[in-house]
Amino acid sequence: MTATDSHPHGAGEIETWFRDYIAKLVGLPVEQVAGSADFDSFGIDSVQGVDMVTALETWLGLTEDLPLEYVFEADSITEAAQRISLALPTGPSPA
Amino acid sequence: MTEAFPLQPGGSADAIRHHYDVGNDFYAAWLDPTMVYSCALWDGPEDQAPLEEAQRRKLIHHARAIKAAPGMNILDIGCGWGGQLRMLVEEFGVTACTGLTLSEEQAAHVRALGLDGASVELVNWHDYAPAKPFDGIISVGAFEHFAHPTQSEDERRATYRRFFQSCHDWTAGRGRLSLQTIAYGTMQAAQANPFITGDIFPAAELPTVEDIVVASRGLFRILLLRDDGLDYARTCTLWAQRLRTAMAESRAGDDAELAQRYHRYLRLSAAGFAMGRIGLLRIVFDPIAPARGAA
Repeated sequence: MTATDSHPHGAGEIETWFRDYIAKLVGLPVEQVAGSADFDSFGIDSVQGVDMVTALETWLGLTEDLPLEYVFEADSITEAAQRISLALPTGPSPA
Repeated sequence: MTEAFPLQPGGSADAIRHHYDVGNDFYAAWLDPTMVYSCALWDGPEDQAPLEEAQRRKLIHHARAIKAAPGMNILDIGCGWGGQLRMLVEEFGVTACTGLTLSEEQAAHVRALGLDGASVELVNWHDYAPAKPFDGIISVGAFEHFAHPTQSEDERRATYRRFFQSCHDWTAGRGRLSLQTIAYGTMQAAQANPFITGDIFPAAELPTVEDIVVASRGLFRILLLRDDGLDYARTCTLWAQRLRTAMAESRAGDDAELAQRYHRYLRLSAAGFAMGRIGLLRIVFDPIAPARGAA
């Protein structure tokens, strides 16, 4: 994958989105939502997890579902963000 | 506080219609072409069969479980859009089969299939009285609707007992029963998500494995019991993807809120099955014949 054909949202941006979302959801300063933490440590249940993934899909402009296990089985926010980033559809390739 | 749906053992018609009568076209947009709305059957996670093939295997599983064969007369309790009836008629050559449903739209759809020897009745199993015995019974995705959340454990098991007694009576104690139902896994009833219990499936309560074992005791011997919850996680995930695609292509009807609600429900269900909070039981029952001379 090259810079020109990658999805505009990289793993770092997705991780930032997760941290902002979780901070608002549980009422913590975003500084206290570490990328190395797992989703369970914030008490996020399956319903909140599904809604979070759906909100992320909307933010990413996806028209297909992301596999829920990317989040539910991830050991950390960073890992989930990386898996999702790699799975995103790529933009048009240069001619 | 007024009950949204009247207490009615055997699943209330209003509750059933709330879920199933939202339009056949809506379901057709995301179910597979056979319109089977229940858990498909795969042979483990490595099995790459597409949804339609896995649904077909499920229908074959139930037909074989009751030893369906030419000349037989089969009852399908909760027949949905008729996928199992079609399988029984077209591939197992049964002479007659009857489907029960509480959904008017499903009944109309089944009648329109024009299956030779098949009939459909818009009746609650609780009120059903067949004219002659059946040789076997299949019930897929109906048992979930039989009990009501306000029932005690004893009341719930009494409702299930009546179902098993009816199945036993309707086959004169000689026919097998193949059952498929969602059941509680690691989750307790009190932990159920209000979105699903209130909005998607009002007035429905799931059974536990123990409920089924207790309620069928003395009437049926359990030949096979398997929890295929991961198959249902996969089925719901595929349905959600298909619904998402239909929404993106404006094929999911005019009610965008309805489509989003179902999409959320399917993904929540997928998560629940994947985590084992709820399970999918497939159970084959062999009848225990009444003792000779018994009343």
